[in-house]
Amino acid sequence: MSMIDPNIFERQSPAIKVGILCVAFLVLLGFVLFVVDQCDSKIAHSKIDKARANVNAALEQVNAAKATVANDRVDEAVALDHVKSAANDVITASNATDDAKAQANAALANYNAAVAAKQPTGTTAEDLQRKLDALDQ
Amino acid sequence: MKVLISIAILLLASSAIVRGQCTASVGFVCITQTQSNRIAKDLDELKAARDLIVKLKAVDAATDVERMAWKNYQGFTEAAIAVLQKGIADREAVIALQQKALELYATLVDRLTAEINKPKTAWQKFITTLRDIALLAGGIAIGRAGL
Repeated sequence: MSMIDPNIFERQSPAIKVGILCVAFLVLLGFVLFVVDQCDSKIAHSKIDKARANVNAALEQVNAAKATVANDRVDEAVALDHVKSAANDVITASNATDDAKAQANAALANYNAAVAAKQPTGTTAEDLQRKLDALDQ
Repeated sequence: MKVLISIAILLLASSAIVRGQCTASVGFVCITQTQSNRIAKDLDELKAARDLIVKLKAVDAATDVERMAWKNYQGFTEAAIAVLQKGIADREAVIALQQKALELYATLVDRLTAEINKPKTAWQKFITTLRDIALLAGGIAIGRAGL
Protein backbone atom coordinates (compact mmCIF):
# COMPACT_ATOMS: atom_id res chain seq x y z
CA MET A 1 0.00 0.00 0.00
CA SER A 2 1.47 3.28 -1.11
CA MET A 3 1.90 6.06 1.46
CA ILE A 4 1.28 8.75 -1.17
CA ASP A 5 -2.30 9.37 -2.19
CA PRO A 6 -2.53 9.08 -5.99
CA ASN A 7 -5.32 11.65 -6.07
CA ILE A 8 -3.43 14.27 -4.12
CA PHE A 9 -2.88 16.43 -7.24
CA GLU A 10 -6.65 16.43 -8.11
CA ARG A 11 -7.54 17.44 -4.62
CA GLN A 12 -5.39 20.62 -4.79
CA SER A 13 -6.73 24.06 -5.64
CA PRO A 14 -6.18 25.32 -9.23
CA ALA A 15 -3.63 27.86 -8.12
CA ILE A 16 -1.54 25.19 -6.43
CA LYS A 17 -1.90 22.97 -9.46
CA VAL A 18 -0.60 25.76 -11.69
CA GLY A 19 2.27 26.30 -9.25
CA ILE A 20 3.15 22.63 -9.21
CA LEU A 21 3.07 22.50 -13.01
CA CYS A 22 5.25 25.60 -13.24
CA VAL A 23 7.78 24.09 -10.86
CA ALA A 24 7.75 20.83 -12.78
CA PHE A 25 8.24 22.71 -16.02
CA LEU A 26 11.12 24.65 -14.55
CA VAL A 27 12.73 21.48 -13.28
CA LEU A 28 12.35 19.82 -16.67
CA LEU A 29 13.64 22.92 -18.46
CA GLY A 30 16.56 23.14 -16.07
CA PHE A 31 17.40 19.49 -16.64
CA VAL A 32 17.31 19.92 -20.41
CA LEU A 33 19.41 23.07 -20.25
CA PHE A 34 21.85 21.37 -17.90
CA VAL A 35 22.27 18.41 -20.25
CA VAL A 36 22.73 20.70 -23.26
CA ASP A 37 25.25 22.79 -21.32
CA GLN A 38 27.21 19.74 -20.24
CA CYS A 39 27.30 18.38 -23.80
CA ASP A 40 28.43 21.73 -25.11
CA SER A 41 31.08 21.94 -22.42
CA LYS A 42 32.27 18.41 -23.16
CA ILE A 43 32.58 19.18 -26.88
CA ALA A 44 34.49 22.41 -26.21
CA HIS A 45 36.85 20.75 -23.75
CA SER A 46 37.34 17.86 -26.12
CA LYS A 47 38.44 20.28 -28.84
CA ILE A 48 40.75 22.06 -26.40
CA ASP A 49 42.23 18.79 -25.18
CA LYS A 50 42.79 17.70 -28.77
CA ALA A 51 44.49 21.00 -29.59
CA ARG A 52 46.63 20.71 -26.46
CA ALA A 53 47.62 17.15 -27.39
CA ASN A 54 48.52 18.32 -30.89
CA VAL A 55 50.70 21.07 -29.44
CA ASN A 56 52.42 18.62 -27.09
CA ALA A 57 53.03 16.15 -29.93
CA ALA A 58 54.45 18.94 -32.10
CA LEU A 59 56.69 20.10 -29.24
CA GLU A 60 57.96 16.55 -28.79
CA GLN A 61 58.77 16.41 -32.49
CA VAL A 62 60.56 19.75 -32.20
CA ASN A 63 62.59 18.48 -29.25
CA ALA A 64 63.51 15.30 -31.12
CA ALA A 65 64.55 17.36 -34.14
CA LYS A 66 66.59 19.65 -31.88
CA ALA A 67 68.36 16.60 -30.45
CA THR A 68 69.15 15.54 -34.00
CA VAL A 69 70.54 19.01 -34.72
CA ALA A 70 72.67 18.79 -31.57
CA ASN A 71 74.10 15.50 -32.83
CA ASP A 72 74.62 17.16 -36.21
CA ARG A 73 76.65 19.87 -34.51
CA VAL A 74 78.96 17.23 -33.03
CA ASP A 75 79.29 15.52 -36.40
CA GLU A 76 79.97 18.87 -38.06
CA ALA A 77 82.68 19.70 -35.55
CA VAL A 78 84.33 16.32 -36.11
CA ALA A 79 84.08 16.68 -39.89
CA LEU A 80 85.54 20.20 -39.81
CA ASP A 81 88.38 18.98 -37.59
CA HIS A 82 89.12 16.31 -40.17
CA VAL A 83 89.12 18.93 -42.90
CA LYS A 84 91.47 21.17 -40.91
CA SER A 85 93.79 18.24 -40.21
CA ALA A 86 93.75 17.26 -43.88
CA ALA A 87 94.46 20.86 -44.87
CA ASN A 88 97.45 20.93 -42.52
CA ASP A 89 98.65 17.65 -44.05
CA VAL A 90 98.36 19.20 -47.50
CA ILE A 91 100.37 22.24 -46.41
CA THR A 92 103.04 20.04 -44.83
CA ALA A 93 103.22 17.82 -47.91
CA SER A 94 103.32 20.83 -50.20
CA ASN A 95 106.21 22.33 -48.23
CA ALA A 96 108.03 18.99 -48.34
CA THR A 97 107.53 18.85 -52.09
CA ASP A 98 108.86 22.39 -52.46
CA ASP A 99 111.93 21.49 -50.40
CA ALA A 100 112.51 18.34 -52.44
CA LYS A 101 112.18 20.34 -55.65
CA ALA A 102 114.63 22.90 -54.40
CA GLN A 103 117.11 20.15 -53.53
CA ALA A 104 116.54 18.53 -56.91
CA ASN A 105 117.16 21.86 -58.65
CA ALA A 106 120.37 22.26 -56.67
CA ALA A 107 121.40 18.71 -57.63
CA LEU A 108 120.58 19.49 -61.25
CA ALA A 109 122.74 22.61 -61.06
CA ASN A 110 125.56 20.50 -59.58
CA TYR A 111 125.17 17.99 -62.38
CA ASN A 112 125.23 20.69 -65.03
CA ALA A 113 128.28 22.18 -63.40
CA ALA A 114 129.96 18.75 -63.36
CA VAL A 115 129.15 18.28 -67.04
CA ALA A 116 130.39 21.73 -67.96
CA ALA A 117 133.55 21.50 -65.84
CA LYS A 118 136.89 21.04 -67.58
CA GLN A 119 138.76 17.84 -67.19
CA PRO A 120 141.11 17.86 -64.19
CA THR A 121 144.81 17.58 -64.73
CA GLY A 122 147.28 15.39 -62.98
CA THR A 123 144.71 12.95 -61.61
CA THR A 124 146.43 10.28 -59.58
CA ALA A 125 145.34 6.78 -58.78
CA GLU A 126 144.59 7.95 -55.25
CA ASP A 127 142.29 10.64 -56.59
CA LEU A 128 140.40 8.06 -58.61
CA GLN A 129 140.19 5.74 -55.63
CA ARG A 130 138.83 8.56 -53.47
CA LYS A 131 136.17 9.40 -56.05
CA LEU A 132 135.23 5.73 -56.33
CA ASP A 133 134.93 5.49 -52.56
CA ALA A 134 132.74 8.60 -52.56
CA LEU A 135 130.52 6.97 -55.17
CA ASP A 136 130.08 3.88 -53.06
CA GLN A 137 128.94 5.90 -50.05
CA MET B 1 178.56 -0.25 -87.36
CA LYS B 2 179.35 0.02 -83.68
CA VAL B 3 177.66 3.39 -83.63
CA LEU B 4 174.46 1.94 -85.09
CA ILE B 5 174.46 -0.90 -82.63
CA SER B 6 174.99 1.56 -79.76
CA ILE B 7 172.07 3.72 -80.95
CA ALA B 8 169.81 0.68 -81.22
CA ILE B 9 170.76 -0.47 -77.76
CA LEU B 10 170.16 3.06 -76.44
CA LEU B 11 166.70 3.20 -78.05
CA LEU B 12 165.74 -0.20 -76.68
CA ALA B 13 166.99 0.76 -73.24
CA SER B 14 165.07 4.04 -73.20
CA SER B 15 161.97 2.25 -74.38
CA ALA B 16 162.38 -0.26 -71.55
CA ILE B 17 162.74 2.61 -69.05
CA VAL B 18 159.56 4.33 -70.28
CA ARG B 19 157.57 1.09 -70.14
CA GLY B 20 158.97 0.42 -66.73
CA GLN B 21 156.83 3.26 -65.24
CA CYS B 22 153.80 0.96 -65.33
CA THR B 23 154.12 -2.72 -65.52
CA ALA B 24 150.85 -4.49 -66.34
CA SER B 25 150.22 -7.43 -64.09
CA VAL B 26 147.29 -9.45 -62.79
CA GLY B 27 144.80 -7.11 -61.12
CA PHE B 28 146.41 -3.91 -62.40
CA VAL B 29 145.77 -1.94 -65.57
CA CYS B 30 147.98 0.80 -66.94
CA ILE B 31 146.17 3.90 -68.21
CA THR B 32 147.39 7.18 -69.55
CA GLN B 33 147.14 10.48 -67.68
CA THR B 34 144.50 11.67 -70.17
CA GLN B 35 142.40 8.61 -69.49
CA SER B 36 142.83 9.12 -65.77
CA ASN B 37 141.71 12.75 -66.03
CA ARG B 38 138.73 11.76 -68.17
CA ILE B 39 137.73 9.04 -65.71
CA ALA B 40 137.95 11.53 -62.85
CA LYS B 41 135.63 13.94 -64.67
CA ASP B 42 133.21 11.14 -65.55
CA LEU B 43 133.23 9.99 -61.94
CA ASP B 44 132.34 13.53 -60.89
CA GLU B 45 129.48 13.60 -63.41
CA LEU B 46 128.35 10.16 -62.29
CA LYS B 47 128.29 11.22 -58.68
CA ALA B 48 126.32 14.36 -59.54
CA ALA B 49 123.93 12.31 -61.72
CA ARG B 50 123.35 9.78 -58.94
CA ASP B 51 122.68 12.58 -56.50
CA LEU B 52 120.28 14.14 -58.98
CA ILE B 53 118.44 10.85 -59.40
CA VAL B 54 118.11 10.47 -55.62
CA LYS B 55 116.75 14.01 -55.34
CA LEU B 56 114.34 13.47 -58.24
CA LYS B 57 113.10 10.28 -56.58
CA ALA B 58 112.58 12.26 -53.39
CA VAL B 59 110.59 14.81 -55.38
CA ASP B 60 108.54 11.99 -56.86
CA ALA B 61 107.83 10.53 -53.42
CA ALA B 62 106.99 13.94 -51.98
CA THR B 63 104.66 14.58 -54.89
CA ASP B 64 102.92 11.26 -54.26
CA VAL B 65 102.50 12.15 -50.59
CA GLU B 66 101.15 15.57 -51.52
CA ARG B 67 98.75 14.04 -54.05
CA MET B 68 97.50 11.63 -51.39
CA ALA B 69 97.11 14.50 -48.94
CA TRP B 70 95.07 16.43 -51.50
CA LYS B 71 92.96 13.33 -52.12
CA ASN B 72 92.32 12.97 -48.38
CA TYR B 73 91.52 16.65 -48.17
CA GLN B 74 89.03 16.29 -51.00
CA GLY B 75 87.41 13.28 -49.36
CA PHE B 76 87.14 14.94 -45.96
CA THR B 77 85.84 18.12 -47.55
CA GLU B 78 83.13 16.24 -49.44
CA ALA B 79 82.21 14.37 -46.25
CA ALA B 80 82.06 17.65 -44.33
CA ILE B 81 79.87 19.20 -47.02
CA ALA B 82 77.52 16.21 -46.78
CA VAL B 83 77.39 16.54 -42.98
CA LEU B 84 76.76 20.28 -43.25
CA GLN B 85 74.02 19.73 -45.81
CA LYS B 86 72.39 17.20 -43.48
CA GLY B 87 72.68 19.72 -40.65
CA ILE B 88 71.03 22.39 -42.80
CA ALA B 89 68.21 19.99 -43.73
CA ASP B 90 67.71 19.04 -40.08
CA ARG B 91 67.66 22.69 -39.03
CA GLU B 92 65.10 23.44 -41.74
CA ALA B 93 63.05 20.52 -40.40
CA VAL B 94 63.27 22.02 -36.90
CA ILE B 95 62.11 25.37 -38.25
CA ALA B 96 59.19 23.72 -40.05
CA LEU B 97 58.22 21.76 -36.93
CA GLN B 98 58.45 24.89 -34.82
CA GLN B 99 56.24 26.70 -37.31
CA LYS B 100 53.74 23.85 -37.14
CA ALA B 101 53.87 23.89 -33.33
CA LEU B 102 53.27 27.63 -33.34
CA GLU B 103 50.25 27.20 -35.60
CA LEU B 104 48.87 24.47 -33.33
CA TYR B 105 49.59 26.63 -30.30
CA ALA B 106 47.75 29.51 -31.94
CA THR B 107 44.81 27.19 -32.54
CA LEU B 108 44.86 26.18 -28.88
CA VAL B 109 45.01 29.82 -27.79
CA ASP B 110 42.12 30.65 -30.11
CA ARG B 111 40.01 27.87 -28.63
CA LEU B 112 40.89 28.83 -25.06
CA THR B 113 40.13 32.47 -25.85
CA ALA B 114 36.83 31.45 -27.38
CA GLU B 115 36.06 29.38 -24.29
CA ILE B 116 36.86 32.29 -22.00
CA ASN B 117 34.90 34.81 -24.06
CA LYS B 118 32.01 32.46 -24.68
CA PRO B 119 28.68 34.15 -23.85
CA LYS B 120 26.61 32.78 -21.02
CA THR B 121 24.87 29.56 -21.86
CA ALA B 122 21.16 29.06 -21.50
CA TRP B 123 21.79 26.94 -18.43
CA GLN B 124 23.83 29.70 -16.78
CA LYS B 125 21.15 32.26 -17.63
CA PHE B 126 18.52 29.91 -16.23
CA ILE B 127 20.47 29.45 -13.00
CA THR B 128 21.04 33.19 -12.71
CA THR B 129 17.37 33.89 -13.27
CA LEU B 130 16.36 31.27 -10.69
CA ARG B 131 18.77 32.78 -8.21
CA ASP B 132 17.33 36.25 -8.83
CA ILE B 133 13.81 34.91 -8.42
CA ALA B 134 14.77 33.06 -5.25
CA LEU B 135 16.34 36.20 -3.86
CA LEU B 136 13.26 38.20 -4.78
CA ALA B 137 10.91 35.61 -3.27
CA GLY B 138 13.03 35.40 -0.17
CA GLY B 139 12.94 39.17 0.17
CA ILE B 140 9.18 39.22 -0.23
CA ALA B 141 8.73 36.42 2.32
CA ILE B 142 10.99 38.17 4.80
CA GLY B 143 9.09 41.40 4.22
CA ARG B 144 5.71 39.75 4.79
CA ALA B 145 6.95 38.02 7.91
CA GLY B 146 8.20 41.33 9.23
CA LEU B 147 4.84 42.97 8.69
